[in-house]
Amino acid sequence: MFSKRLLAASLEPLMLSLLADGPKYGYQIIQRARHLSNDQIHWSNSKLYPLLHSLENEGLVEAFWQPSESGPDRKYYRLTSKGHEALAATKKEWRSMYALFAELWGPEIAFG
Amino acid sequence: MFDLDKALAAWRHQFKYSHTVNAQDLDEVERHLRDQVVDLIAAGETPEEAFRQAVAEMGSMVEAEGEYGKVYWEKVRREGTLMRELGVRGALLLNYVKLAYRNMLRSKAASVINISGLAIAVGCTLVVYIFLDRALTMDRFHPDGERIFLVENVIERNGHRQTWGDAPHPLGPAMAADFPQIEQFTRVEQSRATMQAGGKVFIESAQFADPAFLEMFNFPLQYGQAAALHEENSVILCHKLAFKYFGEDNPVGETVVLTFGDHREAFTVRGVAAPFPQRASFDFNMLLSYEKLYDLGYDDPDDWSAFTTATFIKLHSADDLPLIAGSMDKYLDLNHAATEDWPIAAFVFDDLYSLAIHSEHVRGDISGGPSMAGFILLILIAVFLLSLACFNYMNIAIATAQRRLKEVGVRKVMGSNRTQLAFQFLCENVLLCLLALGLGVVLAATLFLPGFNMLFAEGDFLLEFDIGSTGRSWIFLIGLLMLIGVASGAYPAFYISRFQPIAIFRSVPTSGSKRWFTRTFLTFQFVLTFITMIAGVLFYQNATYQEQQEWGYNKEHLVVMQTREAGQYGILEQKVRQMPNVLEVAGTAHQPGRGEGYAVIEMQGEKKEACRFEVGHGFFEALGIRLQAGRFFDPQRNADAATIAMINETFARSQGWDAESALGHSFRYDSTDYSIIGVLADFHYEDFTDAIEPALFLLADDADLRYLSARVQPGTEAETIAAFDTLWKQTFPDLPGDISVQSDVFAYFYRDNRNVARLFGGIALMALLISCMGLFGLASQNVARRMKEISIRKVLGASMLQVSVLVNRGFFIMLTLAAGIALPLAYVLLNALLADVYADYAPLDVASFGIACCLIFGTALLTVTTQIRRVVQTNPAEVLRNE
Repeated sequence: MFSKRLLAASLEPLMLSLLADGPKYGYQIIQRARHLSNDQIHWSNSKLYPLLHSLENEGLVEAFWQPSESGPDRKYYRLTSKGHEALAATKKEWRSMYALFAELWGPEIAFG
Repeated sequence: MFDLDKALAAWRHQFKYSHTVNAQDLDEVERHLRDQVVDLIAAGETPEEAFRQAVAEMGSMVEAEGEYGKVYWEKVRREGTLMRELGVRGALLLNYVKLAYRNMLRSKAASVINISGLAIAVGCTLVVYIFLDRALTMDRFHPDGERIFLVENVIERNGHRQTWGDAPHPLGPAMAADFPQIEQFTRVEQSRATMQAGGKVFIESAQFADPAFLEMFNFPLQYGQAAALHEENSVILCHKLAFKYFGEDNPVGETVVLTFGDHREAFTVRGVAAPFPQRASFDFNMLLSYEKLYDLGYDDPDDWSAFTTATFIKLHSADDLPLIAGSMDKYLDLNHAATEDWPIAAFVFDDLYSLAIHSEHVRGDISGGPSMAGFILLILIAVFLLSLACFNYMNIAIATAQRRLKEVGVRKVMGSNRTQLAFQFLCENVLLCLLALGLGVVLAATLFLPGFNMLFAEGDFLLEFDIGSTGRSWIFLIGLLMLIGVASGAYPAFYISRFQPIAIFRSVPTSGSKRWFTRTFLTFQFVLTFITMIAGVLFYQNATYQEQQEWGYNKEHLVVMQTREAGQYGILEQKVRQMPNVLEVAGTAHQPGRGEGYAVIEMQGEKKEACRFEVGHGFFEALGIRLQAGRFFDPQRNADAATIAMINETFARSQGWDAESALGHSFRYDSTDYSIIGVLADFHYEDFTDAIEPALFLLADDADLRYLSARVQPGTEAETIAAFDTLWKQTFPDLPGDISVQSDVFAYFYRDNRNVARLFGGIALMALLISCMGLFGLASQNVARRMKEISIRKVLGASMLQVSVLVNRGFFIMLTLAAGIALPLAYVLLNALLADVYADYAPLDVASFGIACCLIFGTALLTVTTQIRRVVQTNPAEVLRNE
């Protein structure tokens, strides 16, 4: 389990990154995150949706409803161009951070 | 059988009335849940379990609503629709208010009880606030008060330190000369003079002050110039005085004749002060130049043993005070060199704004202020009444809740959540409190404040209703509203909202623990009521007791005429002796009850303080003061007249003598040795708050006699007073007369006692009223709840009396318990209070307790009787049919 602070800091970058490769709905996003992180990521779902709406307010993502066969409509989110820009900026930040740690920890940084 | 759709619908209902989570958001989350349930079922869970897990993972919805809310407001801010949002919220709030109003109308009795109870308490609190606000913000109208200080001195006397508000005459100018940090100084000397002007003559108080007085203190003049005080023989009058002698006219330039002792001079009015603000702890009647004081021959400007009433200094900066305070030694030395009697131990300083508050601890100071004990008492009274009223509200609200449970249940099923319900009840409560506050303000302004003024106001100390005129009074009002709103409403609101709908509809929950809670409140209310009622009865009894106290001499049928100067007594005495109704005449320099002298004597090598009376021949006999040993002053034996003295019992006892053995002892006073020739039985020359102190009696020179006491035929007092008045006007037409009866001399004291009794009586009645309101509320709830039981008992043949007693038994047990708790508390508290104030008092006895009990039980019975009538009038068949 990641510490709360780390989760909080990484929430937005993760969200943007998860949407980078195509539109998704909320449950899908969570499943993907959990799968990719080997179940390390545990967002309370009640935080997820407000965050998505907040990103929508800021214009980084846009939402649209899509009908489904298995039940009621689902609300999908996809990155806007502004969102892509923000993602690029975030990537730059984290790369710098990573480079710093690599410098500090040396080859150790690659071990899990 | 688990139905996912139904479960989801139920889950959705939580948010039906949420302001931050809208339908679309709910759709989104619902879809999320569905997806998760599908996956969990695929993983092997039962549908029910899957649903539970999914909902659990969704996290706390309270938090979620918060988060949604944040995002929502972000959006509103971005899109600039803030105003519209507030409009919507405003409409919702209005809805709550409408609902609250309607609910209040529905339960009228309960509302009336609550509002009136709270209003009474609020009214009293406001009066207390006004009083305290005034007392604690005295003298603030003088600017720079933080830099102005009164020089006080500390004296060691009889083993303890006393702080006095006066200072040696030369101190002010000396300090001003020595300390550059002192910007200004002024002295004030209180005096008295006979004033003749505009055809009237009266004795007035007069103040001598240095020129800086009117600059240091903010007493603006309505007419004339302050600087004119420098001029020869000028005087500045206060507004009241000017009106008294000159009416509405501007008296500047007019002449007044002032007589100080033997000096009679003409003065010119140079100014009239504007009316003084209520918050002045000191002011002046007429102001004269300080120089004039020396001119008139009073005091020596260089005498370090002579004291002037007040010395104020104004510093450039308050920070300089410690430096000055630490450099006062040279003045102490000057004082010690000038006098051996009671030398000053230290000089201390008090700033202007604190003068009134500290005044009770400083003797002889120019400022006046009520005692702290009085403050505390008043605050306690206000808090007490407020608590009573709030307890009432809580009690009634909880009891009413039972009735409203059905409503609560319906609302919850319809989707209200707990916060909303609690908020709604709180809203009702705030509305009610607002009404109570309004009514309380009206009560305070029209009833309580005038009442308080009538009971306690002396002269200028009338309280004004200035709530709303200062910022801090608004803050106080709002704070009070919050306090009573929350204090009385919080518990019931949350209690009510906690009930589960299903439980409500299935049966009527009458949780025993809640009834215990409310009954405890009521008991507490009645304990307080008992205590105040006992206090009221006790103080009333005490007032009577004090009035019946022996004065130690025959005070009846004694008319007293006061003279001003030497020689006047002799002239009057001759004429008075000839009057037909006059039986005996005697003179004295000091009249019991009108102030006595004071002496520091030396006895057997030790210094001792005593009261000093100088009396004429035959004084004790005329007044009926009894002799315990020895003899009275004898006009036939004049040889030793200058070296004999009498003492009172207390004096003898304080020296360890009995009456007989005191005779023959001697003491030294004012460089003369006196031999004790007689011991008098104690008599009260001061009122009964202080125990009698040691007193010595000397023979007065004829020239010093000031009071003529005439024993007259019973019933002829009024005639005699008129005759004296005529005699005076004939003999001394230019001087104001002062004629009274001796028995009036403690009239103020008796009046104060009566007033205190009335105050406590009033408080007790209000407490009783509020408590009985509470009792009424609970009793009616009680009967309503037990209607079924009552009807069954009636049907089974019980008499009305039996049923009533049975149903209301609980309340009388509670009352008895309250009485039992209150009695020891009252005993301890009230006896301590009385002992502190009076030297001798009537202690708490069975009678006072009995009277209080009768009053309270009687009123309670009356209150409950109304419910008994209800019991009598109900038809059991009807009730049982409806159940």
